[in-house]
Amino acid sequence: MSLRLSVPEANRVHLHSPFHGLARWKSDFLGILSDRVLDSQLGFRQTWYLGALTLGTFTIQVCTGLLLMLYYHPSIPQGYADMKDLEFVISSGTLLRSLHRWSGHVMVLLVFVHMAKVFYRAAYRPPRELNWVLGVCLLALTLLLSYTGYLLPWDQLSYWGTTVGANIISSVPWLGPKLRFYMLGGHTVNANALLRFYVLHTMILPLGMIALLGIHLWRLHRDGGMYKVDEHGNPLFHGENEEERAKEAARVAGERTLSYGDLLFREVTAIEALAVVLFTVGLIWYAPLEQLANPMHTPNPARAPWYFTGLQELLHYFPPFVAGIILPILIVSGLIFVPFSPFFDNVKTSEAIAWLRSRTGRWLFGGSLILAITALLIRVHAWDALVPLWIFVTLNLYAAGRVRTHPGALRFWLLEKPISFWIMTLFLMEAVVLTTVGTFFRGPGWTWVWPWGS
Amino acid sequence: MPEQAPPLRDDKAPDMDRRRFVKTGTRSLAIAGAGACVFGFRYLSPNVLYEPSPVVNAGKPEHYREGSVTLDAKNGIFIIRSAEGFYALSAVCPHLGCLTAYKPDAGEIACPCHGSSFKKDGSPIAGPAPSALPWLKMWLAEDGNLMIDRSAKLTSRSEYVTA
Repeated sequence: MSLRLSVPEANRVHLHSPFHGLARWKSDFLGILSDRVLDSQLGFRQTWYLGALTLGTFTIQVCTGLLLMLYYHPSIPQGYADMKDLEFVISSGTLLRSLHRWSGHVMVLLVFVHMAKVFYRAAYRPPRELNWVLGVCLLALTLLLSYTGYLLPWDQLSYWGTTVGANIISSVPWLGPKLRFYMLGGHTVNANALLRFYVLHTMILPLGMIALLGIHLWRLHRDGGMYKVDEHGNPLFHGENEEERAKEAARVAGERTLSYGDLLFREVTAIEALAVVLFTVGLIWYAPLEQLANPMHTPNPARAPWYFTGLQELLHYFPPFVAGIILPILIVSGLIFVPFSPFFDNVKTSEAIAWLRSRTGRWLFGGSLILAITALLIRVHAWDALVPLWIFVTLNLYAAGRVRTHPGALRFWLLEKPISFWIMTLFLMEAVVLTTVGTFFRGPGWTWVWPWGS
Repeated sequence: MPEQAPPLRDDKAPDMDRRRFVKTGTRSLAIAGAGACVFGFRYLSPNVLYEPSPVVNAGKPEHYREGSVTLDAKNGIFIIRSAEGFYALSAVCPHLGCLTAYKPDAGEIACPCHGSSFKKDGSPIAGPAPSALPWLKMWLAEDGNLMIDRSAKLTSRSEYVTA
């Protein structure tokens, strides 16, 4: 690569980390990570090592999952009995199961935070847009893996969580019942469904995940490795072609340029630290197991795992087809769409405001849109979903304020942001608020309760 | 035979051949893939299901008191005896399939998952349920037992069975 050639040998400082030899070997044969990182880009605050940590949890999932497969039979009620065996009979069985459960939860969390971090660093911009799309696909795969794994213990939560999920699918007009039948291999959640979910969870989805992860890492390398900005906040190594990238490389050649072995060393260390934390958590808190699945009794409340309680909260307000199908499709396509949309991504807030201001009608349009959404949310009594919306509106009004005498730093910062910033921020705020309410503030019959009440 | 030099070919000819090869190959693969999908799709849909029969024997009418609402959780149905006669309701919430329960204090049927509630005749009172709990076909068999067909939903809400 010309990029490698363009960095003078004299500027290469090798710290001789324990991974250096491995790194050089990998550089020559695998070419997964970037060849060079700057020492200013090495610190924790650049990426929080989120990508590496997510990969770490996935590795833990694969290892613990393979071991759990040695004792798990995907049949009824043997699957549940195997859970009990893992807990009471098999050495370290509880630890493995707990590790698999907690690591799965942490993986979902890390994927979300990784995505948000990449978004707010604007690291999804060209030429990285394909990797962003792959990341969105990996997010979807992660959630599907969690959902399919949820059924396997065959306890009460598994059974009713899957029943609700299957009925969301069947709310699709016309095709719905057919889709549900294919998904479950029958009319109810039964032995066929368990086997289908098992095959998805242990073969199809992980293989898809590994394939996409491979491309994700390869693209990272092709797109210039770790996302870098220079001292003015402009992205580095983002030139259209090799020549431009070489120029950029030459521009920062004065800075120490490290082999990424040093980065690899730090990231592996971070993964190890996370693994130690997860082991400790798994030793202290066991993964819960409810009673054997009982189609004759629905637990009350039947709560989804935390990453789906936001969705469950929406299901309380909106028809399943809207909350369970339309909204997720809109969210995923919105996430995919962001890097390809010059309108959302290149128009600054200040420009958008100027455009809106130039006509009264535009103001009325924006205002009535917000009021319509507010009215809809009030109509279905979705008070909790209103809170982020109005924080969002307040921030907007603050940024759009006419008074220019003492503009605060926050306002300048907001005015510089592209429109996509607002969309993503509203989405994340809604996700956090709805998830919190669904997890902590909902009791029997999905009525409002205070978590500190008895 | 005099040795013959291989005929000079137009530079583009091999390209065209390759293109045609790729085109034909892609098309045949697409056709084969579509065929495999049709069969694969049918393979994914089981033809025989080992699920319980939709017809349920609910026993003798005299086992039910007047005004009682009895949940048959195994089959997901309510057997209700009102002043007008017997009727059967599906106990499966039309929202997302949770099993509802009768609350005698409130005199209504409630779903534990997303908070829907229904009157004793199945009509919705509150919550996200998009429709009423359906009435199921019910009849008195020759041996005097109440029979319910869970797969047959009634459109009217007044077909009482009297015993």
